[in-house]
Amino acid sequence: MPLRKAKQKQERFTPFLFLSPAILFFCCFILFPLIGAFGYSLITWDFFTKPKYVGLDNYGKLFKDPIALEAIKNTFIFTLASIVTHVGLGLILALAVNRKISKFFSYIIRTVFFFPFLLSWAAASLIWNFGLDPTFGVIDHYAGKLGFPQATLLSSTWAMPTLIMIDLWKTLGFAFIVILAGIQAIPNDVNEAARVDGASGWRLFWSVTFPLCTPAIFFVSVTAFIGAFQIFEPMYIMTRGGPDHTTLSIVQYLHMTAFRNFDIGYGAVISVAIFLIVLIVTLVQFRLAKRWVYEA
Amino acid sequence: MSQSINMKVKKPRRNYRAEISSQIANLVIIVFAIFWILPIAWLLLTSVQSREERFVIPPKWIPSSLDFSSYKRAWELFPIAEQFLNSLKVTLISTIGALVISSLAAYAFARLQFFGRETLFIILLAGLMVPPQLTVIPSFIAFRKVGLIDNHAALFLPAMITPLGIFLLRQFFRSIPKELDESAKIDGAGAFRIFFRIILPLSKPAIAALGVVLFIASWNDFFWPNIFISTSTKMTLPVGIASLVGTSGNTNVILVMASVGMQIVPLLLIFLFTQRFLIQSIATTGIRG
Repeated sequence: MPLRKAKQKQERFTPFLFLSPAILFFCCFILFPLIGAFGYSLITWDFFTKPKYVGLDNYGKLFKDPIALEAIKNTFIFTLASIVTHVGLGLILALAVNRKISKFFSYIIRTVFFFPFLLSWAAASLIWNFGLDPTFGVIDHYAGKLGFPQATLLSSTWAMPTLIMIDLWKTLGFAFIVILAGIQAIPNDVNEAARVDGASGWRLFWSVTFPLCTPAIFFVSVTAFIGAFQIFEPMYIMTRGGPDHTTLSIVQYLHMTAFRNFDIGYGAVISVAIFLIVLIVTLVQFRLAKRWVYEA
Repeated sequence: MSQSINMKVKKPRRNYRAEISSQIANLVIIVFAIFWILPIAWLLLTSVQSREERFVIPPKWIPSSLDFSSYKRAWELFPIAEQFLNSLKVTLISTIGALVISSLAAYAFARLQFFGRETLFIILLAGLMVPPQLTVIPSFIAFRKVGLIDNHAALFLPAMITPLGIFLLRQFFRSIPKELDESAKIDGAGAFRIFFRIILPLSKPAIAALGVVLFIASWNDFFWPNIFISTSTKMTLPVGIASLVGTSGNTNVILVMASVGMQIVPLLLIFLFTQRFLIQSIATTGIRG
C-alpha cells in the first residue's frame, strides 16, 4: 500500500518534470521581459545615470514625435504592399506550377523562387546593394536600358518601392509554397465534379480553386503582416532609413532609440506600440476571416 | 448530327487557345525567373572575374578565365572561419535545446493529466504573439547585469523557447494512436519510457521538420545578434557580412562580394539536393523565419 501511494505521488509529479524546462525558459525569456518592457516604458534611463519614474510621459511623447509617426506610416505602407504583392504573385505562381508542366520545369521554378527565402536578410541586402549600385550594379544598368528609374535607393520617391520589390524577391517563395500546398490539397473529386458541370478556366478558378485555397491565402496574409511589420534588416543595411526618413521602419526606429541613443524608456514605449499594433491587427484579421475564409 | 459537327469544330479551337495561354504563362514565369536569378548570378560571376573584366559596363557575363584570388583574400582578411563556427555553435545549441524543451512540454500537454493543463497551454501559446522586438530591451538589461553581453549564451538561451514548436509537436503527438502507450502502460512502462521509446521514435518526421525550420531561422537571425554581439570574431555570419558594408570603401567591394559568395554557394548546393525536404518542412510547419 505505501509503495502504491509513493508511485501515485511520483506520477503526480511527472507532468511537472516534463514542463519545468519550458516554464522556466518561458518565464525568463518571454513572460518577465514582457512585464519588464511595460515597466521600463514608465521610466527615463540611459544605462548610466539613475533611472527616473515619469509615468505615461513617454507614451505622450510617441504621439507628438513626427519621426515615430512617419516610421509607423512607412511600415504600414511597406506591410500593405507586402501582403498584396505576396498573395497576388504567390497565387499566380502556384497556379502556374499546378498546371500540367514537366517535372523539370516545376523543379526549376521551385528552386528559383524559393532559394532567396533561405538566404539571410543580410546576404540578400548585400546582393541587392551591389546589384542596384549606381556605378557598377547590373540591375541599375539594365533598369536604365529599359527606361526604369535608376539609383532608386538614393531617391526619396523610389527607395521604398525598391525595398518592397526586394522583400518580394526575398520572401515570395514562402507565400508560393504555402498557397501551392493549399491548392494541391483540394480533393480531385471536387475539381472533377465542377468539370462535369461544365466549369473550366476562370469559372473553375473563382468557384472552386480560389474559395478552397482561402485558408492558405489567409495564413499567408497573417504571416506576411507579422513578418513585414517587423521589417528591419534591409532598411538598416541598405538605406539606413534614408533618404530623409522615407524608408525608416518602426523596428529600426526602436533600434536607434534604445541602442544608439540609449533612450531606454522611450525605446520600450516603441516596442510596446509594435507589440500592440501587431496584436490588434492580427486579431482583426482573424475576426474578418469568418467572412471570406472557407470554413474559418 | 449538327451538334456533333459543332463539337468537332469547337474542340480544336479551344485547345489551341488553351495552348497559347499556357505558352504565355510559361513566358511570364521565365521572365520573372530571370529577374529572380539575375542579381545572384551576377554577384557570383563577378566574384570570380579577373580585375579587368569585372564591373565593366555593359556587364560581361561570361568570364574568360576564373580568378578565385578575391575569395582567398577575403578569407584571409575577414574572420569568416570564426564567424562560421560561431553561427554553427549558436544554431546547433539553440535548435537542439528548443527541440528538447518543446518535445518534453508537448508530451505533457498531449498525454499527461494534470490540473490547469489547458490554461497553461493557452498561456504558453500566447507567447507566440510576443515578438523579439518587445523582449529585446529587458533582455538586454538582464544579460548586461549578469555579464553575458557579447556572449553567445545571450543568443542561444532565448531561442530555446518556441511556443509554436510546442504547439506543432503537441498536435503531432496527439495524432499518434493512444493504444500504443496504453499497451506499454500495461507492460509497466512509465511516462518517461513511453516518451522515449514510443512517442519520440514515431515523431521523427515532425521533429526533423521543426528542427530544419528552427535551424534556418537561427542561422539567418540578424536583429538579436546584431544588438548583443559587438566583437567581430564573436559575430555570427549574417552580422559579420553586414558589418563589412560600413567599413569597406569601393575598393573592397569585390572582397565583400566574395564573402557573400562564400555564404551563398554552400547553401545553394545543400538546397539543390534537399529541396523537397526543405520546402515540405517549411510548408508543414508554416514558420516564416
